Amino acid sequence: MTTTTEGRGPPPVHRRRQAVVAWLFALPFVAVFSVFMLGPLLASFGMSFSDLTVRDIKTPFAVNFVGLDNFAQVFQDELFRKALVNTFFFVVVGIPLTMALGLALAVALNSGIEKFRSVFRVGFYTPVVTSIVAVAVVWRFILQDSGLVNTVLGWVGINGPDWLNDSTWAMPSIIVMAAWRNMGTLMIIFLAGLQAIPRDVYEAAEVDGAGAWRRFRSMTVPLMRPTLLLGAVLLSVGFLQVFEEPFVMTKGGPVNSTLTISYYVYNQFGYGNYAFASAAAYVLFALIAALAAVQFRLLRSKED
Amino acid sequence: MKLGRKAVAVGIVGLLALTACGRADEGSTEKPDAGSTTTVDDSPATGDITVWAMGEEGEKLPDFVKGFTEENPDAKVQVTTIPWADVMTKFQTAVAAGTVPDAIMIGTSFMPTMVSTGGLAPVPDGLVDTDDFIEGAAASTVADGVDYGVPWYVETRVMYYRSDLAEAAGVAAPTSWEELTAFAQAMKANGSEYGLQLPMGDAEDSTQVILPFYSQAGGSIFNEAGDAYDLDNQAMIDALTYYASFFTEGLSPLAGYGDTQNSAFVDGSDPAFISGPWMVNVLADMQGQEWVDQNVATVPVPAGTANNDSYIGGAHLGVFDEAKNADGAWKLVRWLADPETQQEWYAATNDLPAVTSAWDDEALTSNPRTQVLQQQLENTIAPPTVPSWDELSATIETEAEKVANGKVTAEDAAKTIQAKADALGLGW
Repeated sequence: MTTTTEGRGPPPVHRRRQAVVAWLFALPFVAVFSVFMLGPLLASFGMSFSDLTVRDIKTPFAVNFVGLDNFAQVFQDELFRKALVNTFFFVVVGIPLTMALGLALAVALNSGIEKFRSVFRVGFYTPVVTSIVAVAVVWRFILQDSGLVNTVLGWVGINGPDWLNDSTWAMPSIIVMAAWRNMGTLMIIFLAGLQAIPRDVYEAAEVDGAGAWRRFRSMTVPLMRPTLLLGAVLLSVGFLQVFEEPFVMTKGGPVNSTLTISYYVYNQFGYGNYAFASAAAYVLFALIAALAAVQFRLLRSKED
Repeated sequence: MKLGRKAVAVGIVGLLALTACGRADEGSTEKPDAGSTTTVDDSPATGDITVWAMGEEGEKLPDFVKGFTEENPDAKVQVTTIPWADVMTKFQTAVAAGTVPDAIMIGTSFMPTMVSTGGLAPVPDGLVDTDDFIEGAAASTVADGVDYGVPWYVETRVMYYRSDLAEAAGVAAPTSWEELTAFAQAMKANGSEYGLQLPMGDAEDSTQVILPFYSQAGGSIFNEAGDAYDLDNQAMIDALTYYASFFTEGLSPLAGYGDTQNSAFVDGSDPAFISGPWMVNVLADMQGQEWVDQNVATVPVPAGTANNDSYIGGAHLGVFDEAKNADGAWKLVRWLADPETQQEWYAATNDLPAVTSAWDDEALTSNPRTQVLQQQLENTIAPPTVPSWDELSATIETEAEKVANGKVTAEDAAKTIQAKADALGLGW
């Protein structure tokens, strides 16, 4: 550390003092992170290899080491597999939908409606910062059997289902709601990406006779690729952990059709199966880590 | 090699120390056996007594215990009100950290989980006489063969229906399963959209209706030895079939209560339900007491082939194993379970007395609706006090939902329920 930058930075004594000061500044974060994040993370990792349940909370050290038994049981549980399938459905349909909406909004704001850009930007971002509880009340009314959606569908002669109480339609309804809630974040990210693309590139293409669609496909998308992938990574980490939407809208029902992995873990903690719940949580963690790794690899290879 | 595995577990779970700090005595955590409990004498209580209580009871109790501190001037009662949603978390944290209060209000459904943590102390011998309490309530204080709580108040579910619409439909209060179906059909034929409101799925705790159906059909939860669930039988098939029939025949909405339970009752589109005593006040708040008096009938639930058992809930009082003032806490509990105190508590809160003799009270005998509740309290089924019931009931609710949706047969659902029950065991 001292050899390569010799003669450029401050003398070693100063640097050591700087390091001490830096650590002092970092200390509050490190302390809070250790106590509230790292500690529980490691504790639940340890728990996932034990047979700890609510019965053992007075004597948490007098439990047995059961190796990978909990993980084996997690994968054998039919309900967990159902939660896994539900979560994948949510992610596979939800991410492209949210990305498309976010990108469409960003492109529209970037090119078309420049005059009221800030108004629309705030408007589309509002769902992100609105309390999920309040949002849920409104959405439940909208999606009711005789709610707004079905009333509108009725005008064109369609007899809509009872969205949230139909095991076929509950998950799609939740996906739409999640897309609506998250598209604002992506819109902001994508808008920043779009604004970083120089105007004259587009003008040159226009002179060469490229239409709007052609410009979007051959210029915007390739130039935006790093930003798009960033959005995809952020979104998929969040979507794999989806919990709030089914919790406030359907309680995982009907017939477990909106039970997600996070919800499953939450239920298992509620039943007092701490070790088992920890194992299930680490399965989810592994899934997220794997997906993020794949996405980062894609991101890097395109940049190279 | 249990010891060897334990050593490894200590190493791994040692990480737990980061979160579960503050536990001082690692050695003295074995449950005291019931026989060793000290008896509680009749001398006045002394010292600070700390109590946790939930919801409305938690709000009313601080004022109410002044009666106790007048009789026991050397005692001081401090009540902490806890939201219902936080009880289990706070309880578990307190037990793990050793920072418990002295006494706690125990919602009957929390009993098994609380006992399984080892946090509660057995009721001292001779503190109260079990025979003084309503049978279903007294039974639900016993977990794993030991008495861990004293019944405080009870609630049970009765049938509510729109008497004006029933009259128009030409039907009387149903007393059997067949009559209940016919009642719902008549209500529907009379112009209501549905005939009976029933809960659907885990989200609406439908076992609170399905478990009574099962009991009404003659089912019992455990085998004769009482050491395993016994649920794959004709009574379960009957109960699931009967429950599902209301949905498949269009007499109950598949969505369950949903957000419109009360409004559907008031506007007559779904004019009957099975619920607890609190519904009288809920409806009176919406429509006024006069409307309730004129249009709402309350009757015991209809009977199946065996009986007309209804769900019994309510709350018990317990004392912590590591309570600092266990003697004072038990004396407070004994005072709260006294018949006279129970009558005063009813006057203060409308909570129904758990002590049978307290029902002599004029306030209770003169009210026809509480009379129906008293009648129903003679035939009740309490949820079993075993830790795995919470998880098993979620399976029962989901399977019942599948039967109601026509996705599986009642026979297959009963088999799935029993398989889950076998996998879970009782949970001790």
